[in-house]
Amino acid sequence: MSDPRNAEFHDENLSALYRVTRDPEPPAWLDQRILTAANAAPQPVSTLAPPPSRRRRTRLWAVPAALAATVVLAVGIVRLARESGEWGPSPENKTALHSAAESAAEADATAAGRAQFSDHDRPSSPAVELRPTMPLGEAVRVAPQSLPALPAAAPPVELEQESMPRRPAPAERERAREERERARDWLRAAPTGQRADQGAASQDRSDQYSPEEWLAAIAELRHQGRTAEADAKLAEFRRRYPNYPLEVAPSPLQ
Amino acid sequence: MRTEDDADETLMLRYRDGNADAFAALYARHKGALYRYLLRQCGQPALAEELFQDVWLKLIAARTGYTVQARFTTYLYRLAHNRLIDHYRASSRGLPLSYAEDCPEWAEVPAPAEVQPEAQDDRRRQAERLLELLAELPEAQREAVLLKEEAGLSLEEIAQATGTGRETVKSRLRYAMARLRQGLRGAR
Repeated sequence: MSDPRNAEFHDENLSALYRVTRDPEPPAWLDQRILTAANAAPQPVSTLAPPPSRRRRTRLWAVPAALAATVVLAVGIVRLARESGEWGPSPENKTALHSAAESAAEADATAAGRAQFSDHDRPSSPAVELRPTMPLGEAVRVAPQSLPALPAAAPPVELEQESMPRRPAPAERERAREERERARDWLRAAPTGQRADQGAASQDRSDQYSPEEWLAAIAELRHQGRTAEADAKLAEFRRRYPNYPLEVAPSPLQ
Repeated sequence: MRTEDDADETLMLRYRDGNADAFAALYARHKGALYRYLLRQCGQPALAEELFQDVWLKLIAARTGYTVQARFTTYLYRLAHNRLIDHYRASSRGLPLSYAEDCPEWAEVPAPAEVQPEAQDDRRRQAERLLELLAELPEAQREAVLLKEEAGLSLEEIAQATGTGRETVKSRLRYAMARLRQGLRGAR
């Protein structure tokens, strides 16, 4: 207001006289109220974040809860689907499918007069046993239909997922198991399965077997890992058939 | 002499950042002038107290958005002016005509009766007479005088605080000073 251009609007005498009137002040209670209000909110707004309301807290949990529920439901559905076989075979189903395939193959082999076993069953199978004491002429007659067909006779079983039964019924599994037992019984009852201590009557029948049947039986022994017995039978075979040309069938004997 | 540290604007920035003591200093510095400005504009102590409280609470509420764009005093009296205008508009009288940019009534306001010299035997009486003359001024002119005398605002700052043009403020002040001088003539 000291600007000369403002002199028209400034009168020092009037201003001095006005300063005499500067008496009124706000009451003390009003001072206190305003200062209290100012003290109640001195912090910056960013540090005065109000606690989340109940509704907001609920909203904060909504997304994690929804995600957790989704995961639980998805896992549950996948597990149920796998157990029911809808999404590929589970380990349990694979075993069942394998048994079903075995059953089918064994049924076919039985119908064709040949015993078929899977690789898993073969080492423990007592299908071919030659008695060490059996004379050459009394060799156990190996059923011709049971010997050469073991490695490759079973037709390949296609485990196509869509065509396989999802879960074999208990009746089917029971039937497959019975068929396997019947095949094993048949093989035990075969001449090659008879043990040396079963009597001379059976020894006498070994003379009825041909050299080829001897060789097939020896090959089966080797295939089962019973090398000592196979060597013994081979020696017996050579003793009985010294002139038999073994070169024509070297692979089964080695 | 105020330094940079205790300038009004610095104190308000400190209060914005959480320093309550800065507000107390600001309040102590401006409360009297603001109260008198409101009291002499509305003429009623109770109403002046209500308006006074509203202005400071408005300042407190707006603290987080405060930036230094003008003198703090201008900012404070801008809040006060707006509160007064709201009060006028809410009253039965409505906004006084004197707030019009070019008020034709200014020239028609009757001159105050000259005061007899014997009645002004002391300065205190002259001051009371000044307040009487001030109360008789149209609101817009009175406000310009109060902002000049109480808040110490310049013409530009008065224009900024009241939201009017500088020339309008000059006209209001020119008429106001002439009437006050005329009313106090016998006192000189």
